[in-house]
Amino acid sequence: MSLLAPLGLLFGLLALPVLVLYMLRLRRKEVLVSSTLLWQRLLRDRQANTPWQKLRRNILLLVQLLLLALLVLALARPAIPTPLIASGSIVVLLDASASMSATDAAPTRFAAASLEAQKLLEGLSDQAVLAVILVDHQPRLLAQARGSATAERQAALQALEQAEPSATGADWKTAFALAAATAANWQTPATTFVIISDGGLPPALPALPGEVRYLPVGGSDHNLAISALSLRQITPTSLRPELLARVTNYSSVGQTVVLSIYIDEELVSAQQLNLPAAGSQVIILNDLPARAGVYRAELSSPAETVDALPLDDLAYAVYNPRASRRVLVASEEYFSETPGMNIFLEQILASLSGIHAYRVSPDAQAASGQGFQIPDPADDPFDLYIFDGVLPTNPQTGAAELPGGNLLLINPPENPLLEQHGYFTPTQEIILSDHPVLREIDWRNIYIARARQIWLPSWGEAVVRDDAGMLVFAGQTGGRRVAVLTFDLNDSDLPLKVAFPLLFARLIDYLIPAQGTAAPDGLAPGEPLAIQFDPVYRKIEVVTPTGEVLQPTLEEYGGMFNQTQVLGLYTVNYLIPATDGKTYRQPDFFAVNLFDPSESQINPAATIQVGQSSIPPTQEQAISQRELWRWLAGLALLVLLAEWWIYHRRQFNFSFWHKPEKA
Amino acid sequence: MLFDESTLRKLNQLTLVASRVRAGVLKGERRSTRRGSSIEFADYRAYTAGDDLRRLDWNVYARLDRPFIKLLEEEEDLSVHILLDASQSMDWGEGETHKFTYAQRLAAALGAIALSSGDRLSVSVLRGGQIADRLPLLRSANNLMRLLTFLESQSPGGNTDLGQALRNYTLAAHRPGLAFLISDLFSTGSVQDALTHLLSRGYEVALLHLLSPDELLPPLAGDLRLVDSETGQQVEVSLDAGMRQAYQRGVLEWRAEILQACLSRSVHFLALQTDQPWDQVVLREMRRTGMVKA
Repeated sequence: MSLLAPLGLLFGLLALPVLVLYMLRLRRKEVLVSSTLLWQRLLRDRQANTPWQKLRRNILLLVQLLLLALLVLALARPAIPTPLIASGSIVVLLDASASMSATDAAPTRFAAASLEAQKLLEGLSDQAVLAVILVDHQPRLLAQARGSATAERQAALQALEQAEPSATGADWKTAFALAAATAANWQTPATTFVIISDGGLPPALPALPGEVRYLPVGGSDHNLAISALSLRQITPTSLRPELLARVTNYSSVGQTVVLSIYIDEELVSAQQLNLPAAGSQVIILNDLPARAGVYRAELSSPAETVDALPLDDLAYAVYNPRASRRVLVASEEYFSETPGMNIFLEQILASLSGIHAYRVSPDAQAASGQGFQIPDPADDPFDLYIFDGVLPTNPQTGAAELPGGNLLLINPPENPLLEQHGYFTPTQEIILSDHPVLREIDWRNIYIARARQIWLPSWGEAVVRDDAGMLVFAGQTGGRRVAVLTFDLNDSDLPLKVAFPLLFARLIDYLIPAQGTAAPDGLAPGEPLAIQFDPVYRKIEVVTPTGEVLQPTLEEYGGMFNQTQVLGLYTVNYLIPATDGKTYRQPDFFAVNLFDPSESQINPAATIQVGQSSIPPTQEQAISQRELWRWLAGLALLVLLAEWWIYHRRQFNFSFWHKPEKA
Repeated sequence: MLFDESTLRKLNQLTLVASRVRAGVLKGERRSTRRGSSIEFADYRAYTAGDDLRRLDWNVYARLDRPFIKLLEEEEDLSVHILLDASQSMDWGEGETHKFTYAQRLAAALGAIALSSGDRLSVSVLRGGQIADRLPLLRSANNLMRLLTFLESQSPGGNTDLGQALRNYTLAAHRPGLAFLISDLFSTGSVQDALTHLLSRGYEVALLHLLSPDELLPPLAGDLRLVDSETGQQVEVSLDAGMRQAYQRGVLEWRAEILQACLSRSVHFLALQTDQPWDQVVLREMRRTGMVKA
């Protein structure tokens, strides 16, 4: 132990006035008594214990001298030299990526790294500052403390103890920028940057404005991972899926592992794989049930296998073959004397993802030549029926007969659903509503020559109109959604405008919302997810793999959900308020998996590249002085309390004490 | 006035008890174990040459034709000695708990009992190893006022050397009797030596040990220099709770030693505190211990 301020010992001379004051304080009060005979007897008896009695008489003096000694020693700033990898002001970049969950450093690499950061904090000198940046996919300042501020140090230690590694990768570039900015805010002459990591840093990182030290954690490269898991519909018409799983051995030795596949928690396959060093094996399963389901792949290791990172031993995939929407299109051109295509519609439909469009065959035309028949919705339902200028008819009556599904009617002829009277010529004074289908659509300079005069039904909502009549309206009736364009596309230059594909995409989304999550192969940790849903669902809730229920704030048709840091299977519940007062949940699923070779490759790097420098692992070389004055000050406070107690005990009112027995 | 009429009447009903009565000069009211020349017949014995023929019982001689001498009960008076410690240490306390005032009342009460019983009374005031003052022998209740006046005129002062004082007392030509020593025993020399002087001269001794409540339980604390009121001697003490408890234990042990010394010498002992009503001490405590009787 050394003294950082040895001149503080001069305050020990205060012991002299303490002694003088004590002797003065010992001026006794004279009291006349009838006789000192008994007092002399008492003092004679106690003379046998003279040393103890002297001590009892002078105990207050001894306590006060002890108090003075503690304070003087504290002023001299005793310190214990502590070897550390860095001294002075330090910015610690603490790797919190997925690979830091490896268990080759007990209990985990991250726990070992956090301990090293705590040592740096405990050895921080009074004039220095320390900051800890937690490096994962969103680096942030975890803690900052000045060496002289005990509360800040305690808060920083607590933050380090409570920090956890993530399942994501690490954004080192952002972390470096944050570290440089943090150091720039300090008024210290030099700052050391300490990177505590297993070395999975990308190349071409910028230099840091100070000395860089690298403290590696971990030592093993033994890891087996599920590096891919995906499902595909074998054929467009068959719902049966094919599963592909890839298992990779990142170790430098061959390892054996068992891959198990579950469908909705029912085991369907278990295979033992013998993987060579740094080798992979692909497993394909195609005899799988033709239904939606949640697939789980899991690795289990025999006793002789070493797998240091458990995060990548589990993966999920969600199979939902009905996620794509089926659309049946019937257009005038199909039934003309020379059947053709409706280029506008078919091109639009082909460009929309998740849409499988089917054309009504010219053979479906009625024998009378009026109208056509469509497949019975009970046998072959479609999500949306688009009728352009034609309508299906009842084979017996020949009257127009609309199917029960969602409808997009373009220039519809007479039909039982709509009331119409002739045509009208739209003016240029178009009135646009704020209906969601018009969002971001520029309707300016769209010319429509003529439109059918169709009265807005009670279930409808005007989307585009002018004073003369409706041009576009939509609504819900009979348990389905209906949108109507009252004009022939050939009577308008709308198909030639930019608004056309956007309008149709919006109409398709309105009529058959792309409900659910667009992540059939899962997401990477932290990757945002697009969620779309029908506004009939008042709200949705997302249940994370840990069971936490989140209610994200999304727009009317959906939005982005970005709380995907936890690995595993998520459940998206669409909440439907029913007329019976209950809330029904329609579930959907998506998976977050760690398919990241840079994290699964856990072999610690021998050096890291920062700027132009290759930084090797740092040995302990700096000596930090761990000051003890705080402990001495605390002890002095306790001694002060003891002195107060001793003094008051001696002066305590006698009447409180035990009454003597009468002789 | 040391006590009132009603107390006096109660005291007049009491008699001092002496288990070993000593022969007096005058015919008192107490029975003696000796056969003397009083008028009370006690017993007969055979005539021997030289006996006083006036004591020959002629009636017995006429009946038995043998000469017998008549023996008679001798009635004697008791000498009561009241020895009052009047040293400076007795000047302690206030009001009713003042030690010397209390001692005066005790002495007055014992003296009144002795006078009303026809005993011979003497009162001596001890101070500084000497008999500082003495009331001459009194007899009969008519001398009560003299007793009270004498006692009221006394005041405490000087130091205490009981041993020397009692030695000097016994060397004077006093007829031994029942001695009441009223003192706080704060004396140089041992109490045992002091009592031995009296006992060796045939006195029957009753020791009334008098202390005030604050001598038993001193209301003191802190760092003090205690000054002896008699000798001026100083003792430095630092009084805390432990020290006070040790002092209390010391007082009890001292009294126990005195009691033991008294018991071993057949000395009556009564430990008194000045906060006890003095009349109850005489009327009850002393009756309970057999020092007085009704």
